Amino acid sequence: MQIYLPIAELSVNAIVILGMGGAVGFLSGMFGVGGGFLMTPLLIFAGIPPAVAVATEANQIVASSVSGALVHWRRRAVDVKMGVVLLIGGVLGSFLGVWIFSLLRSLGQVDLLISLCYVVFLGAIGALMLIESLGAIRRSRQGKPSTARRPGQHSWVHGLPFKTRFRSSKLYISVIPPLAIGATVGILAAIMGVGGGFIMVPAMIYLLRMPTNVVVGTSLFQIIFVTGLVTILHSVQNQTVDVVLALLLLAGGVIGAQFGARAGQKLNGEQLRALLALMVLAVCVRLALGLLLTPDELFSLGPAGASGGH
Amino acid sequence: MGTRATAAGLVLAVAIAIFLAGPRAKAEELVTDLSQHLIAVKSTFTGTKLLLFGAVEAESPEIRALERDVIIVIRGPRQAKTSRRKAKVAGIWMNYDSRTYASVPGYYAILSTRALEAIASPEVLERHQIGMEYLRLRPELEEAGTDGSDDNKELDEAFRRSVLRLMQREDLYSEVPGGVTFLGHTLFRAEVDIPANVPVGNYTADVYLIRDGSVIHAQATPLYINKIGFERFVFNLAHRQPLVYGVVSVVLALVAGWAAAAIFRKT
Repeated sequence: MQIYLPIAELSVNAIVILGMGGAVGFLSGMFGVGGGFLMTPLLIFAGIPPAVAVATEANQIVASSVSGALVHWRRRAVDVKMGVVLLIGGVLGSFLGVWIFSLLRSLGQVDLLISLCYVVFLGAIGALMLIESLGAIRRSRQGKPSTARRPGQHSWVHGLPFKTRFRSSKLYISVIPPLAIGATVGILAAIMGVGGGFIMVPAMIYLLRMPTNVVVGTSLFQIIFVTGLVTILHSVQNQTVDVVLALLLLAGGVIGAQFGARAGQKLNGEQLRALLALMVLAVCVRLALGLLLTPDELFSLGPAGASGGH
Repeated sequence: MGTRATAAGLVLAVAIAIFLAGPRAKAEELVTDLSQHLIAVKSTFTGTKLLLFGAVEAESPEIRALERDVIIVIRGPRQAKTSRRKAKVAGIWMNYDSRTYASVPGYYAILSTRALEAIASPEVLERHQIGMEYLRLRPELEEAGTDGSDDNKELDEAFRRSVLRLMQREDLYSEVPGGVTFLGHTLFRAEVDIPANVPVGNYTADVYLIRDGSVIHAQATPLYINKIGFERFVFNLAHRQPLVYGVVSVVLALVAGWAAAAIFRKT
């Protein structure tokens, strides 16, 4: 069933897009990750212009994080004050990210920016996850208990000014680190079309030392607003949000996530993480090859003044 | 298809008109028309077909029997386009240089009775800009590296070819020798594919009658292509009311996410 995407301006098979949404939804349900960092490269591989893939994926993440955030909200596992501070940083970061995006788009380098960001982040995170999970698998085989770092230890973060109390997280820390984390995530959301949970969650646990029970809910709370803002900013600045594509991905993603969550409960956590790390690295390698190998077609054609056309 | 039936009827009407008017015609002339002057492309659909037909009026049957050719050129609205070329910089393939063309036809289809080279000389084709080979595309002058040296001429040509090649890949440019067929001695018809990705706007269908390598008559017919349907509505909203479009996209996503959570909470 062919369907015409009005903003990407190309015809795609609706079943293929639904399937992609379903597959990434399955993985994100299984691993408990947002999936944006897998979906955006997949859309690019499928021939969607990178600028459209990024902006549209931000739109889809709004939906998937609302579903997730509602579950955490009902469990009262959201630190709203921390979420708002992260969000203020996120708003600043989103504006900066979309500005950089538009600037490079007018220079014809936005596809390169997106690919480079993905190669760097996927490479780093995939490698770290693989090393960590392989280590955990080895330890569990040797019968040693896994040694997680304990929260509550003081670090340089606690020496910064503008301290404030976050009751839900039982923390008294400076607002600077959460602002900076929020801003970083905002920039990444604007440039890469990701929620940024893969950066924010570890940063909240290891840097801010937030209790793990509020981390995911708070990060999802921030992601809803940041990706929502990024969607609007991309619509206004670049007209690259394809709502038809977003709705197709969303429909597939919602169903996939349900099955993924069930499958994830039956599987071993460390092996799952090793598997996810391998997948992340595979996507990274595929994108890197696109930058390193001689392309079949050296030329690309787009409307004057903007790249990311056909 | 209903349009095909009406078109056949029109062809017949033209044939009768020509038969009646035949003896009065002085020289060879073209009488042409299109099946539609206003095309509404449904973008959910894969595009549409446009039927062109016409007749060659002639003084006497002997002249008709002589060798003559018909070329049809359909040109779409002109757009500014940038072609970018990748080069290896620090080991990475990235967009390196570009040429911007202020006026590129958004659609360009050529149909002819035979191969263009067999019909007319390059000079004639060039004069009428018939054929992709002869389509004039000039890069904007202020762009770096267009100083007219030989190296740049070669590069300019590579860029020009890239525009033609990429537009062909999008099915927006085409050359169809044999696309115009004569039905008997006077009537001819041609069918053109209008893909779903055509730009909207004013088109012209130029029909050239060629004998012994020179254009002896030409006729231009205007054509307007519009897109309709849900996809078009979405496109227009995104470009004319981008803020509204963005907000609506986010609201849709919020509702969808909330609905998904509500549905799967029960199961």
